[in-house]
Amino acid sequence: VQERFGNQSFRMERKTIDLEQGWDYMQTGITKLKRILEGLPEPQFDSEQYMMLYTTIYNMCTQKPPHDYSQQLYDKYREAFEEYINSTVLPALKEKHDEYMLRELVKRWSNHKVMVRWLSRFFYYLDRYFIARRSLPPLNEVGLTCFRDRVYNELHSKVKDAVIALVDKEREGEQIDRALLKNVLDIYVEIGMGQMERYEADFESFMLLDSASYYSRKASSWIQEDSCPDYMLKSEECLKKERERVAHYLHSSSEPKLVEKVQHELLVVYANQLLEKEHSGCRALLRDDKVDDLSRMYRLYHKIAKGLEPVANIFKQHVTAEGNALVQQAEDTATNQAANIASVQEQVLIRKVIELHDKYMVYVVECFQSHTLFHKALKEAFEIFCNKTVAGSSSAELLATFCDNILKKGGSEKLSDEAIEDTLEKVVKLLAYISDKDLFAEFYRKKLARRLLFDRSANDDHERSILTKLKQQCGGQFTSKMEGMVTDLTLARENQTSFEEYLGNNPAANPGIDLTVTVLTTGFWPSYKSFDINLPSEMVKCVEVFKGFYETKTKHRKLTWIYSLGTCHLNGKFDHKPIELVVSTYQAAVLLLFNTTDKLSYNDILTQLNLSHEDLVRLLHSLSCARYKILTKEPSTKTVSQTDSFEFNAKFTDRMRRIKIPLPPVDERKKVVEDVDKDRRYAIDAAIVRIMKSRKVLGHQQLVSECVEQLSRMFKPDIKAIKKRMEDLITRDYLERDKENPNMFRYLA
Amino acid sequence: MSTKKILFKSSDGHLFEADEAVARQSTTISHPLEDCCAKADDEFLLPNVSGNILSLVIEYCKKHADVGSISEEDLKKWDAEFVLGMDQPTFFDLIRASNYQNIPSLIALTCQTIANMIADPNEIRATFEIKNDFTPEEEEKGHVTPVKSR
Repeated sequence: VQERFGNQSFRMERKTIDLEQGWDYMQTGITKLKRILEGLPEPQFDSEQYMMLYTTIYNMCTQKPPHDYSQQLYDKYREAFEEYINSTVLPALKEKHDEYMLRELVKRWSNHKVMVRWLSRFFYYLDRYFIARRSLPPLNEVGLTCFRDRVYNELHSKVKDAVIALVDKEREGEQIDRALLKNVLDIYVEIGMGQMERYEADFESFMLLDSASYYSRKASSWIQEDSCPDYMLKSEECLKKERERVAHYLHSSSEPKLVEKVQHELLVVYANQLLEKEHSGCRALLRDDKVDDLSRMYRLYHKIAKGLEPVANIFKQHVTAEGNALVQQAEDTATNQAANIASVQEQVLIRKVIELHDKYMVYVVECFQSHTLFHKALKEAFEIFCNKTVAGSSSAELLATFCDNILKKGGSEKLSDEAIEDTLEKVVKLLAYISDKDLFAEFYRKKLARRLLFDRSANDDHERSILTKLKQQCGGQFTSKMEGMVTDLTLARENQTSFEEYLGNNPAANPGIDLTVTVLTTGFWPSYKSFDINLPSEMVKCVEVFKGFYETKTKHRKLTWIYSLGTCHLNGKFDHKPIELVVSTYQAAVLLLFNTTDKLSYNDILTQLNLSHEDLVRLLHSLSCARYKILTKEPSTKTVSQTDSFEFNAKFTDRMRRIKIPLPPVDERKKVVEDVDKDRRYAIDAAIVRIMKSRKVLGHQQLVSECVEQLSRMFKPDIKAIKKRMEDLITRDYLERDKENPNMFRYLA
Repeated sequence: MSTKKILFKSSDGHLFEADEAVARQSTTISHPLEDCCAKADDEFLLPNVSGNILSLVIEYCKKHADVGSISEEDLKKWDAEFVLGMDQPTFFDLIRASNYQNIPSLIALTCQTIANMIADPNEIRATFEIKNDFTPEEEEKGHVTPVKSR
């Protein structure tokens, strides 16, 4: 396009518009707009007017200098707003107050926005190039800024007071115009032009202060007048109402701040007074099983930092007190009653502890939503009273006895299979709270042995079931021996069948007495004292026959006979009628002596059987001074003395055809405790060596604390014991003390 | 999609009709439409645009309103042909009209076309009749003084 067109290249078709002229024309448009806003009778703009106004601005901005009036028009645009605000808007607002003022403000703001929209359309061309070139604020912003600087800045404080007054009115129960408040507060947000600064600084901060002092006043009177549940109800209601308030007219960002303030005044400031209220506070609620109120307490304090700690604490104290009371009750009853009633009480105690656990576990799950603080509180509470002794029995022993009663035939608990399973489950859970788990294991093992060996186990499935549960909770090592014991019994039965087959095939070997032998694997079973007694010849033969049989099965094992666990069935040929006597092997040995002699002195028997005094006295007592007097004693005093003599009591009779003559049980408690202490010494040694082997060098404190931690799964080690074992290990050259620092220990490989 | 027809009136009284979609490419039209200034059968007066220019604008807008029916390449070809062969006065009027009516794509097209016309300073001078006001030294150095922004 190379043609020239001379000075006609830029054709100016338009006539130049002079500023004053052009502005006069714009004024007509602005005036029309104002009339429409004021609600005066005025028709709407039509498209021609619209285009003319736009075109006027366009032309005045695209004219050649000095008639390029962009800057002036930009200024006049702003001045149009300022003039209108000063002459009309502000006066209208300033003469009104309170709610009327708010309504006027909302109306004027709405009008202003309309005015900005329309004028910025007419003046649109300025937005296209001029503002960018001069880095000026766009038309929209200019308009809003006018309102902000001239109206908002003047009035926001007064407006804020009016709004807050209405809010407080609503809090007192009066109806207010919520939509109005929403519109007013929207102004604070919109005037910020994208930032929340104005809303926060000019309104929210004051509202929060006012709310805090409002609730502070309320709280201080409510805390005096109301019970804890009532106060909590009111608090919950207030929080609900404040949230609704936010939803209806406050900005959503105010919610957490407002809620925090209200919570603080109602729940944090008076937390202590509320929870500790004498007749209705947390303690009382727990005491009176007020689950709804406690749930509410949880809901309210859950949202507050560290709010639940005091509640959990009171819960823990309460449960501990209840537990301690149960223990004390059992203790008191035990000391006042005879031994057999005391043991019933111990059963009852465990039952009650289980019930207590069930009850408060429900609280933890339902009232306290399984929060860890409350699980912990429950656990700690139980750990406190579950480790107390009752009438000399440790809790470990009590629990083992409880299990024994459930699992043995004719136990004190008569329950359905399902109930038994359930109870066993709960018992295992209680075990978690007992620190001396190894002690429990030992007691349990002893009682299990008795159940298995004397065929007193009620149900094999239950026996296995509890072992599975214990294994799950405490690990395989805990139950490995016990499981071995149960397996031994099964093997023993198989073995017995083989033995009977063997006897069938070797009639010459038959001892003439029905013999049942149970072979036990030594490591699994508790250790049993068995003193060497001179067996009667019939029994000696039995032992030899079985030995012969056993050697056909294996030559690599040694049989050690535990006569103390044996049972014997004797036919007593009494004058009146024969009666079968079920006695221990030792008792049988004593009685069989009388087959050859009618009368024997204490010393005779002693020499013949080769027993200790303690054991013999016990035996003779059971046969002559107890319920069934198979032997008559001379003199017939209540106790056996070394000068007594004994005679077979041919006159003895009983209505039963078969009677069991029990030996009084030896107190196994002492032995169990001894055994456990011994095992603990080994366990501590092993733990120390294990730790030192991996750490090589370690300080005294740390070694002790790591030791405690490692062993805690099974028992709570005594610090003195640990120290003693450390010293021992030093003498055995496992460890040495550091030469410079005697508090440091070194592993010796 | 409304098929409302808009009437345009040029400065010399010619009437043109177009679909709303065509008209909306210009904010000068779309603004009053939004603000509900347009009643049915209303005419939009465009006092700054003569009939022959307005018809060109509408032709352009019609082509660019049908976005789906033509490929980008074809549209570019059409655009090039559209401005080709246009005499200068018409062309400059078209630029002004597109600015007045605020049709961004047309503004871009026309300005780009001018930019393409400019090859070297002598050509600019020749095309736009500008006096050479460089001193001989500046000429030699081939300086291009940056245009100061107003």
